Amino acid sequence: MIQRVTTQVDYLLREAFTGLRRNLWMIWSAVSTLAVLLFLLGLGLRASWQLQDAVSELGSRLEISIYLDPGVRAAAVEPDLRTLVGIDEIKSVSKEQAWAALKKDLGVRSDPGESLGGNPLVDSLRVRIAQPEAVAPLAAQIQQIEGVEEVSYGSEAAQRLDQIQQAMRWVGLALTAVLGVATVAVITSTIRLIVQSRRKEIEVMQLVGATPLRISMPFILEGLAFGVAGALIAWGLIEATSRVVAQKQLELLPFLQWQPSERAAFTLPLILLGVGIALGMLGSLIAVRRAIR
Amino acid sequence: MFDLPSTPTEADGTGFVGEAIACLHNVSKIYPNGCRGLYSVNLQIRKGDFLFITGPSGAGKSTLLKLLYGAEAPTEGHVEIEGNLFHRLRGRALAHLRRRIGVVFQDYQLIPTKTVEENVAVVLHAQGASRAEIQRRVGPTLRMVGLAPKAACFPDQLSGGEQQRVSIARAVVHTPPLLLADEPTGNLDAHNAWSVLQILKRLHDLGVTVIVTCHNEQLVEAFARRVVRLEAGILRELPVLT
Ligand SMILES: Nc1ncnc2c1ncn2[C@@H]1O[C@H](COP(=O)(O)OP(=O)(O)OP(=O)(O)O)[C@@H](O)[C@H]1O
Ligand SMILES: [Mg+2]
Repeated sequence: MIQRVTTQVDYLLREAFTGLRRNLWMIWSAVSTLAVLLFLLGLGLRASWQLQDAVSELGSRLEISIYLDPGVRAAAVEPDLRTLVGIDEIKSVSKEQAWAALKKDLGVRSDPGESLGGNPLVDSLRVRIAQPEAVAPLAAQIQQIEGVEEVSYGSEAAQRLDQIQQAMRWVGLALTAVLGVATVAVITSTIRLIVQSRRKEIEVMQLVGATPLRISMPFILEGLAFGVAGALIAWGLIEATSRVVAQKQLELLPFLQWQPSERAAFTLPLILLGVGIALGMLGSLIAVRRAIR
Repeated sequence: MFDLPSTPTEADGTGFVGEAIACLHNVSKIYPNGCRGLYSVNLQIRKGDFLFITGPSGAGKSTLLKLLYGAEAPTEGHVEIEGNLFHRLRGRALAHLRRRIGVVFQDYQLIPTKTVEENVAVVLHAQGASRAEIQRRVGPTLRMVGLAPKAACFPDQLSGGEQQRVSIARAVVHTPPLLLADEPTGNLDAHNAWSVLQILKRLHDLGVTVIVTCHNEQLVEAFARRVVRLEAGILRELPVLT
């Protein structure tokens, strides 16, 4: 029984690969179309996941930053803040401290403040909140306090990022759908070409009692091989791209961090493989269905 | 080597009786281009028959066989093989019925990219035979038609008669209970034609039902079997020669 299965597999693989050896150009076009689609899909997914991570990180920050009017000192506002309910901790950052920290971050030795006409920053306070629900109402209350110029808190930024992400998701889905149809069309015509070059054989096989499944199996395997090849190429391209991007980012924007998440490392290749195989097999099913009544 | 498959299942109440293995009921075939292949043909082939179909070129002999192996569908009437109505079968069921029929095609239908051996093995592959089974059958079958030395040749390296014998080997390698041979002697000299008929006779002796088309009336007469004659699509039974 096992031997029976192995000879069948052996036969099918041989049939599938003789089909592939001819028609190399068409196959190249099919695989590269699929690879481009998967590459774009993968990059999109990655970017979307990164945004999602940023959103959830921002959203979970129970902190409000308060920037004061120029000239107003933190100590003057602090007592007003203490009257509010729900605040755990208040930390004030004087404009001198902020200035020193910024200069250190930028790696500036001489004092550029001179060319800017002195320290351009203002005093600020950071307030830690106990309950996430309290963040937004407290922020509104703080905004009313005399001397407060601006209030910002994480979930606000998170909301905006979330909207961007939603928009990106729809655009991405639409793009994937359009490219997906094109990809399936290219794969279908490639496989149909291979089917055409083996029409005679298929005809004979049908007349001598091969089941439709047996006849279509080599072609379905070919579609599957396209899917795997496309996914591998796309994955390689994505890895290379993200290396380059990470490198450039280190050079240009050292304070932004690009952390490849676990999802990018494990889930992404699986998704690419899955989508690639699904599209490849769909393409060959369509091609074979027409050839084999 | 010719261990025949178990006898086919009996008729399943489709109103067909006796030992008939193939039946044509009032079959007419008109091709889409208007050509008439067969006209109202009734024919019953019993299990164990050795039937010759003769007639001039274009009389409809190949058409009749094509209807019997289901490559063409009748325009009118119906074709029954072992109690199955061909036009009712699709997919797997159709494939499984075809496994019980061996066909020698008039135009050989060999696959040009495969060797003689592979061409014969295609049938067994198509039916999912194991490698051991394929090895066990292909060699002796090629020896039977005298082509063992040419096993590794491609069809275009063979003479017409040799290709015809490959086609015969392919038709019988899976020992079908019903063998349809379309002009199996068409391209052979008298000696080879006779030896092909001997091969068919041997299969017949082993229990295979054989239907042969042949336009060589002398050969048919010399062989002395049940003969039907087709003329312009109309079938006529000739008296059994003895
Ligand atoms: N696929 C087809 N389409 C249209 N007409 C066809 C087709 N096949 C056969 N015919 C016509 O049907 C008629 C019978 O053809 P068939 O092939 O059955 O003849 P035959 O008896 O086998 O002749 P031969 O001895 O030359 O092989 C012929 O007139 C032929 O032109
Ligand atoms: Mg003919």
